[in-house]
Amino acid sequence: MFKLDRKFVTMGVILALSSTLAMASSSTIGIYHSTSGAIDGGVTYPRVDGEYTAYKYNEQSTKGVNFGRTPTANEIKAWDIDALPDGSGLPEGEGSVGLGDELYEAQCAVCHGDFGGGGEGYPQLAGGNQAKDKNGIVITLKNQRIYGSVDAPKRTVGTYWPVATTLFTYIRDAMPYAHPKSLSNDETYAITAYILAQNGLEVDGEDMDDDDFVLNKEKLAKVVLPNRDGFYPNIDGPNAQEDIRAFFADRAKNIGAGTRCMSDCKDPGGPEGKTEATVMKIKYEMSDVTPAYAYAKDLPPKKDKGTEHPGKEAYEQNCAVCHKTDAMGAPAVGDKSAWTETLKQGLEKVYENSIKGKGGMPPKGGSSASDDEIKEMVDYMIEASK
Amino acid sequence: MVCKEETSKYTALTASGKAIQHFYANEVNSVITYPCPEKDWKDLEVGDLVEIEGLAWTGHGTIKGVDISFDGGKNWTEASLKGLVLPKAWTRFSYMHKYDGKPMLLQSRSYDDSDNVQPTVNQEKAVVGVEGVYHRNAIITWQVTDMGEVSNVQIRS
Repeated sequence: MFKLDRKFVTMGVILALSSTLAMASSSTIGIYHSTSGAIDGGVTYPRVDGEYTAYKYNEQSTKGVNFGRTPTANEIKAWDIDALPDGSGLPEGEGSVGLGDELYEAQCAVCHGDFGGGGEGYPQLAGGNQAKDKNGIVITLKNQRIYGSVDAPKRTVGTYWPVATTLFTYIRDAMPYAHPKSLSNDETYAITAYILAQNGLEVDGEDMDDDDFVLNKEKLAKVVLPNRDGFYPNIDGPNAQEDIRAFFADRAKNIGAGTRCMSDCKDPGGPEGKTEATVMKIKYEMSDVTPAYAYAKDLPPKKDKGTEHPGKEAYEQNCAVCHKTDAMGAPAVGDKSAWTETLKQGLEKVYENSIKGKGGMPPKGGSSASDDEIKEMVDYMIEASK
Repeated sequence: MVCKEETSKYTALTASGKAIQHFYANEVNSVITYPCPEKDWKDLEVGDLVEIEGLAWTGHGTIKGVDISFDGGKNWTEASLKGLVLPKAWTRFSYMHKYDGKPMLLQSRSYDDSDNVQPTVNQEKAVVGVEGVYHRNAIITWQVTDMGEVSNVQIRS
């Protein structure tokens, strides 16, 4: 036992040393850290091996469980089809705006509208105002449909998307919606070219809005979309991890956080810092539901007790099992002579027996009723036996 | 910044005109499931004891607790957690309430072991605006009328 403890202590020191060294040698502390938490601002929980994770670790033995095998180099190659913003990963091939126009009309326009103008429920791909303010922000992206404003920000490829290579990979992998992965690389380049052209974009000063313009891997990598810098936190460069971690750590400032006030709370925020709360109906609340909403009190039906003896219902539940007949030796309800005999000892004594129990009968007949309720039941039984 | 959902949907476009990217955490959140518009209180009588129930969750860790407000967020009282409480998992909460038949603005506010507290609608909108498609974790309000009808409203200032 002592030896084992020593071994753990030694291992702990070595682990601590090695992790210090690891931290010193690289500028980052990883996605999940024991004290700094997860990169997205969440907490981490220890794993059995000294590592940390965002989930509670499953400590059950996995011996004998088949977790598959290491994929072969070719399998990874087949899966590794993404393209990065700098164009690496894009396949060879080319396609013209003219061919893209034909393909778009035949396969895309039915949902995305003519010239990428958008359709009912489907994204608009082109259009929107790309004009920027003096800080380089696309002006229409500042639109927020709040406080009476109805102008939506237009999030098209030209106004919103940061990177053009996304267009190629997304079309190739997911479009057309009804039969994805049916387009060749050349066809995908052509449709990508057409959509970029509809957004009035250019490559190296060359206007793309020309049927003869041919897009390929090199040219696509050079397309700079207008909203390239419209996103934060920073995710590029050697400090990216720290930047992301710092951003999501300051949640009240960056993504919105509450405060745990318990009484007399005032709701901060709002347009001119007003604090008086108002109740606003949800404009688009669903009300067309089945079954339809009812607008009346819907109480369970009440039993009409009328002139019924107040002890009757309780008698049915608590006494009738023995007192309904004389089979159990108890005076049966309705048996006038039996009850006359019982009452000879006086009403108070009958009450007392019913509450404290008598012979085979447990106190209160085994019920949890109050003394007064028991008396009510007795009253009913006497009443019904006259 | 490579896939289409990351650029057009999962990013949260704020009022500054810039958008938050790589915003993946499912933030601390909760909702009262009873009562709710589909399961209202029209069948309650004054004096009835009723269990207010709901679900809380957080992608930042584990739910630590849930508070309940009957007056639209001015005053709060602690509810109790029920059943299993695990990281990144639905967590049940419960509060026994004596129905008094008065109208109320019923809210739940969850908090987690990563020091997150669910924001009010105002607190959330002031930072992320209204144009993001996801990341809606502001406190939800049920308006309960004196008839026991329940509908979804927002408390705004």
